[in-house]
Amino acid sequence: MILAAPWLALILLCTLVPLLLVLWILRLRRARVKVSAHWLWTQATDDLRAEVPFKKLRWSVLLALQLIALALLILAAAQPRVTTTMGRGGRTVLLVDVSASMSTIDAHGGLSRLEAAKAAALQAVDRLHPAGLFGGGGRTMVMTLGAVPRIVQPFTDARALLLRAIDAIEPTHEPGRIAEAITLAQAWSLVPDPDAAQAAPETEAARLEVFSDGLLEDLESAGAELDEPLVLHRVGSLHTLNRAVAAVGATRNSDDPALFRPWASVLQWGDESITVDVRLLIDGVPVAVRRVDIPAAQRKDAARDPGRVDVLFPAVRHGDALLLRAELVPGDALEVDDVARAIIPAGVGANVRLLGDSNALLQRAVAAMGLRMDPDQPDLVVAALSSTVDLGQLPSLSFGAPPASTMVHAQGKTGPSQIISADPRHPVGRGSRLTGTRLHDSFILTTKPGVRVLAQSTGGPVVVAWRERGVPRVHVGFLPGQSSLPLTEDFITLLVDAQAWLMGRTDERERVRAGDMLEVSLPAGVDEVEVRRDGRTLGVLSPPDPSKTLWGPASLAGVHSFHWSYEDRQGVERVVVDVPVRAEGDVDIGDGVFETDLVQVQVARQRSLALWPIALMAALLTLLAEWWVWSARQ
Amino acid sequence: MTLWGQSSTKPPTSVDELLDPAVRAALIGLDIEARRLLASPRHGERRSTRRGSSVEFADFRPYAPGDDLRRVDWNVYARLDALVVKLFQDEEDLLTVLAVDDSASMVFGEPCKHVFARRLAMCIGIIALSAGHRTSCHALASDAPASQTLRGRGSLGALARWVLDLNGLGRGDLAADLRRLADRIPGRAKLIVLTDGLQQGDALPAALAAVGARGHDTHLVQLLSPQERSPLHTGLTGDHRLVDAETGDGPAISVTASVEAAYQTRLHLHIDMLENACRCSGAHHTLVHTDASIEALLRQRLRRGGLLR
Repeated sequence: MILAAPWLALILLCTLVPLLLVLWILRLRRARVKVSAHWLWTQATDDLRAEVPFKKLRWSVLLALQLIALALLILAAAQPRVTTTMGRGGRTVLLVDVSASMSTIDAHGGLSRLEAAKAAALQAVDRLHPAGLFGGGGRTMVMTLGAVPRIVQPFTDARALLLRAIDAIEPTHEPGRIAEAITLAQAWSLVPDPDAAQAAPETEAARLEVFSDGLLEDLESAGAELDEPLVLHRVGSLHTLNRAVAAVGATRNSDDPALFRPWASVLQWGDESITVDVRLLIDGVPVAVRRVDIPAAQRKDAARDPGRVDVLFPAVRHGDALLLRAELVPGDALEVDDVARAIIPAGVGANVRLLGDSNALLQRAVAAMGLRMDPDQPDLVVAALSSTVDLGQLPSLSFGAPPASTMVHAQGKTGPSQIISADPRHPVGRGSRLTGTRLHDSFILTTKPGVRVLAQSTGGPVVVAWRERGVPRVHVGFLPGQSSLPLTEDFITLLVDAQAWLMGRTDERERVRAGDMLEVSLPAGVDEVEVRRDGRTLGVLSPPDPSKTLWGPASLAGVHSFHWSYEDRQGVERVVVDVPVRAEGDVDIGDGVFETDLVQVQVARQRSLALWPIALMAALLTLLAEWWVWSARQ
Repeated sequence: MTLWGQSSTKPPTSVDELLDPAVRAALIGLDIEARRLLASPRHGERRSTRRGSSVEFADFRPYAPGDDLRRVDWNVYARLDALVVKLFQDEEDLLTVLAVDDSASMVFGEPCKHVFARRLAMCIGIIALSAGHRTSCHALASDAPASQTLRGRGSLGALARWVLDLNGLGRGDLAADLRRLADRIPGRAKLIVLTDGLQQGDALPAALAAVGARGHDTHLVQLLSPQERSPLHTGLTGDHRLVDAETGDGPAISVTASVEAAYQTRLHLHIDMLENACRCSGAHHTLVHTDASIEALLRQRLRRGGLLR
């Protein structure tokens, strides 16, 4: 505590305290007491204290209260100040992490990390805007961190608004990113105060306080762009291990496309292998439980690759689309990623024109899929090409040399290679597991923007999808017979998924994660769409272009359905939104994650606060109490 | 919140509030004790201490309510159409005079001295009237009027009204009033003075001496409250400005144990002085604490002290 006027306090101390004591010794203020014969008292004692001005000072509650009040008044005159943790310049941005990892229930008191973060944010509001007569301070804004930042309360000095905004924050299943939030917060902090009488542009960025478990993809890079370290109020336990269902899907039997073989991919981030039960539900009905051992995670420098195991379930025969759900039993601290969902499209009938000279495998596969060969009125072209051929304006699935296109070209061939990565999000590559497929030779494909690479080998892109003048095309840069793909069930799955996507008959669009925008294509003329998640209505849209209906971003995982009706027609388009398991699944905060120069954990800037009003108020209250005690004695 | 020395009970406004049934029951069988011959000009039911002849007519006096109808001279009534009572030589008419200190200093203490004095006066008055004695009531140190001379149980109402009308607002001179009262009483009487006796100086002992010289059989009942006896232990502590109940003057004082001890010494000296004055003037002195039981007081202390029998 600092005294702004210590000499004044000293002078008052040296004058007023002795004066008060003298007044007490003189005892000018006395209670009047009625007696029947005062002369007895007068005669009784030669030591009548009132008749002698200065007598020994004796203890009294009233004297103590008066001395306290006087001391407080002297303290107020000294203008004391204390340093507090108030925000600089009065502008503070509170960023509350609402990403999927914040749903982990491992905070003190059995709370989730988000609940603990909200409690810490409420305490910060208490600190920045203390209640009471001398409360107040600067202006504070509240934002949430997810895939995109959201402002839940713009800058205000209203404590109640801030508390209400923080209370209303809900968890999401989005990945946590902070860079964009910092940019947004800084932009807002430089906006002049619209309530100020003479609003001048702010020249100093607001102070940023983050309430998070620290599992933010871009925390370090975002902190590096700031002039001062981020203040991070970390929540959650340091060593919480998680396991998750990364994906669920089904492969089709190559001889019987109506026979599905469901599978699930399970991860864990522990340092030791564990055993878990995985339960499969089809259309909400439990059908199988598998007990599997998940290997330990592998550490690579600071990062950690989760241990992974794929679980196969018994085959299921089903003609219609399936809603698969795989879940861990029992769940763990982070329950949102203990479940994965997928929609398996039904096979669709189509007329196929088969082109190419190396098509024996394709002929058998097309026959097994139940497709009709109709070279005259085809709906779809399936081709195995050794050189570039113009496939016309029909949707096409081609193998080997790419078809004539302005977007995909072949630049020679490469030798033996292996598919090293595949995009599990696209409907074509989602059901089949292409990674690991060995290739005898393949074409070297070059692509232009707009072409989606679905699988990549050591020689470059090998499976691509694109639309050219509105015509969808899927191309596989090797012939089936030149690879190990036909040896697995993934071959027929790839064909069925590609055929469904090319015919525009997939129930499910591209797999998305929480935080992404949802996009569906609806029939022309649809003017109203109801969006639901797990049966609960989220909103109603009036899309200007039904063929490209956008909604989102989706903050929670689950099956989102777009219900539409138009004249006599009605339908549902479903989209599965996943938890970003790879980004959010590793909830182990670990030791020393934030001990960097860019991020400071719970370090606050100090600010001076005047205490004289408090001292003055306390002095007045003390005098009031003294008066009350004196009155009670009368 | 009751202040120190202030009574928390409101003054009585009826006989029932003044005397409860237990006190009334305690009065049965009591009589006023006349210690020596009272040379009253009138005669009554009290047997004289003097030796006299047997039943010998002495005089007439007008009938008063409460008189025994057997003593009415019906012959006189037949001739004069007036009720007169025959008096006989061997009977003396005892005049009981109740003198109650009605000064403001009596309105003090818990229980209040003034209320206690009024209750005691009512009791003694009932005893006297029930025994057939003439009784008169006087307020000392006050402008309150005296009662008429009362006689018989039929005068109990008048006695009660007089007692209830005392207000304790007097600021007069106790000793002077006592002296005047003694001079006004015709003959000799049983004079019962109910007071706290807290008058500074020698005036009150001198007045007692003068009363004794008039031949009255005097009984001084001195009333003191617990607050007067032990101020410190009843809550008077610390620094105060004392205010006299009658004069409004008073010193500023810090009440401590030593101060209280000195006060009590002074009080006891004053009590002793009054007791000596009573003894010298042939009067009785009884010190009564207002927190004592009035039934026990009537039945025991005042009988032992020669006031009642």
